Amino acid sequence: MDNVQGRPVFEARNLYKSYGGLRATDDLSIQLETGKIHALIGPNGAGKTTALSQLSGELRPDDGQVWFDGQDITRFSMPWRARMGVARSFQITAIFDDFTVAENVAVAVQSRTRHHFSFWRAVSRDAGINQRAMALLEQVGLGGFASRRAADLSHGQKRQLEIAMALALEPKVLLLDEPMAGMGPTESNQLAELLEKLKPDFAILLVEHDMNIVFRLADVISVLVNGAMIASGSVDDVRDNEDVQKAYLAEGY
Amino acid sequence: MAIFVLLALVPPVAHAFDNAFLITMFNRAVIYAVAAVGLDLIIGFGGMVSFGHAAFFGIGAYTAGILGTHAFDGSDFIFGWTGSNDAFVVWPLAMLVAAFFGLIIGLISLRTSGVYFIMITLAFAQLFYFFFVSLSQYGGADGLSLWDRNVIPGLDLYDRDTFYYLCFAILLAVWFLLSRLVGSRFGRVVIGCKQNERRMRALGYDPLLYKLTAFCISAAIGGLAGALIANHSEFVSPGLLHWSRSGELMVIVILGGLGTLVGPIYGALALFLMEESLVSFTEHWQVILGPVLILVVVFFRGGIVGFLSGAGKTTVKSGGDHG
Repeated sequence: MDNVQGRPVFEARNLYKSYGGLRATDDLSIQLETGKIHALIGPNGAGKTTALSQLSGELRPDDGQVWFDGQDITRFSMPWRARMGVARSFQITAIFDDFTVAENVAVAVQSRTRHHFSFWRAVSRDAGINQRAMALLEQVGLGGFASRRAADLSHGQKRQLEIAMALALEPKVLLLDEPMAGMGPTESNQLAELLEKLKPDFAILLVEHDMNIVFRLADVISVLVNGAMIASGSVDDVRDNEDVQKAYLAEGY
Repeated sequence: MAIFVLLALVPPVAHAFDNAFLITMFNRAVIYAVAAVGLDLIIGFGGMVSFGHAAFFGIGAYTAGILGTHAFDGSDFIFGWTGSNDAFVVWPLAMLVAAFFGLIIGLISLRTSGVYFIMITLAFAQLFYFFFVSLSQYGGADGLSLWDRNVIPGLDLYDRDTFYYLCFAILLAVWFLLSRLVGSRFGRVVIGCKQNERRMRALGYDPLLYKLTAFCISAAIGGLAGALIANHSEFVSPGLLHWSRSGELMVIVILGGLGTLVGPIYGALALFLMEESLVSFTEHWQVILGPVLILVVVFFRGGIVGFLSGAGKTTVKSGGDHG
C-alpha cells in the first residue's frame, strides 16, 4: 500500500448519468481514502447502485471522470478496473453456485496470477492458489466450509464468501453494495466486525440500508437523493443535517 | 471407461462374426463422437449452446474434399498450389480453417446469449450450407467425391481396421486433451463464465476472450472430425452442414450426458445403434428417437453417463435448488 493515509486513492468527479428524462446520477463527486469507510446512503431509487456501477466500470457515465491511484480510469472496463485493484460486491448475491466454496475463492485468486491460458496443468492441485484461497476463507470465517458446494451455504455465509472473493483480488478499493442485505442481526454484526478489521488496509465504499451499521462503521457519510448528493460529512454532521432528515430519515428509516 | 475397451474390441468382434460392416458403422459413430466431444466443451462446460456446429464439421470435410480434388487432377487451388492428399497437411488445415471461421462466427455470436446465440449460430451454419450448395465448382448440391483417401506414410487408410483404429486413437486423444483442459486454469475460467459472467467480469476476467478461445477449439475439433468423415465416406456434400446435422450433434451430446466429455461417446454409439436397429422396422426411425430423447431429458438429466454412474438422481436434485 503506497497510499499515504488521508489522500484519496479513488475519486469520482462530477458524474452524470441519465436514462431518458431520468437523472440517475446528478453531478456526483465522491472521494475514498485508504483506512476509511465511506458510506453511501439514500432512499430507495436514489441511484446508489447506479453510482456504484459507474465507479466499478460496469456502467459508463455520460459525463465526469473516475480517478484511481492518480490515473483517469473513466474509460476502463470493469474487468480492467478489477485487475488494477478496484473490487466490488453485488447487492444480489453473486457467487458460483456449482463450484465449491474453495473453488469460488480460487477462481478469484487465479485472477491475480494472470496465467489463464494454461490448458494442461490441473488447477485443483495448484498449491499456490489453494493455500491463498484457504487463508482468505479463514479470514472471513468460512475456513470450515471449503469443500462445501457454494449453493448450499446460508445467505450470510454467501455474503461472507463474496467478501473473500473481493479480497482475493488484493484490491486497494472495495465497493460493497449492501453487503448486509438479507442478513440477520448476528450475521450482520459478524460482517461489521470483519469490515472493521479490514478497514485499515482498504478504501471502502459501503452502500448500506441499515442505519445502525452505517453509524457504527462509517467515517464519512454521503447522502444521495434523486441521483444528487445532498449532504456529505461525518456521522454527526449528517445526522444533524436538516435536509437529510427531511429527505431521508423522515421516511422512517 | 468401459466405453473405450468396448470400442477397442469392435474390429476383432466384427471379424469374429464375419461382419466387417460393423466396423464401418462404428467408425462413423467414432467420428461423430470426436465432433460431439468437442461440442460438449462449449455446451456442457461453456454454456454456449451452438446450434450450428455442423458448419465446422462440413468446413473440415470440404477442406479435405477440395484439396483432394486438386491433388488428384493437378489443377491450381490457390497461388499455384495444387492441393494435397497428405493427412499431415490436410487434417491440420481442416482444423485451422474451421477454427478461423469459428473465430469469425464466435466473435459475432458471442455478443449474444441464450436463444439469440442459438439462432445466430444456426443462421451462420445455414449460410455456409447454402454457400456449398451453390459452389458448383466443387459439385454444388450434388457434393464432391474424394478420389483418394488421405495418405499417412506407413499406414493404409483404405484398410478398415487401420482407419478405424486411427479414428479411435484420435477420439482418445481429443477426449484426453479436453479432459485436461476442463480441469486447467483455462477450464475453470470457462466454467466460471458459464455460471456467472457478470461475476467473472467483477473478478477481472473478460469472458469473451475465454469463451471465444473455447469456441475456436471446439470448431477446430469439429473440422478434424469433418476431415475424418470425408475420408470415411469418400464423399463430401452440403448435407454435412445441414441444420439437422447440427441437431444430431446436439442430440448426441445431450443423450450421452452434458458436461461429461465421455458422455458424447456413449451418445454417438447409442444414436447410431438406435438408427441401425430401428431403421429395419421403419425408415421414420426418428419417430422413436424423439420420445426416447424426451424421456432421457426428463428422467436422466445426466444422460447415459449420469444413468450409468447413478448420478442421474442427484443431478435432478441439485438442479432443483438453483436460484
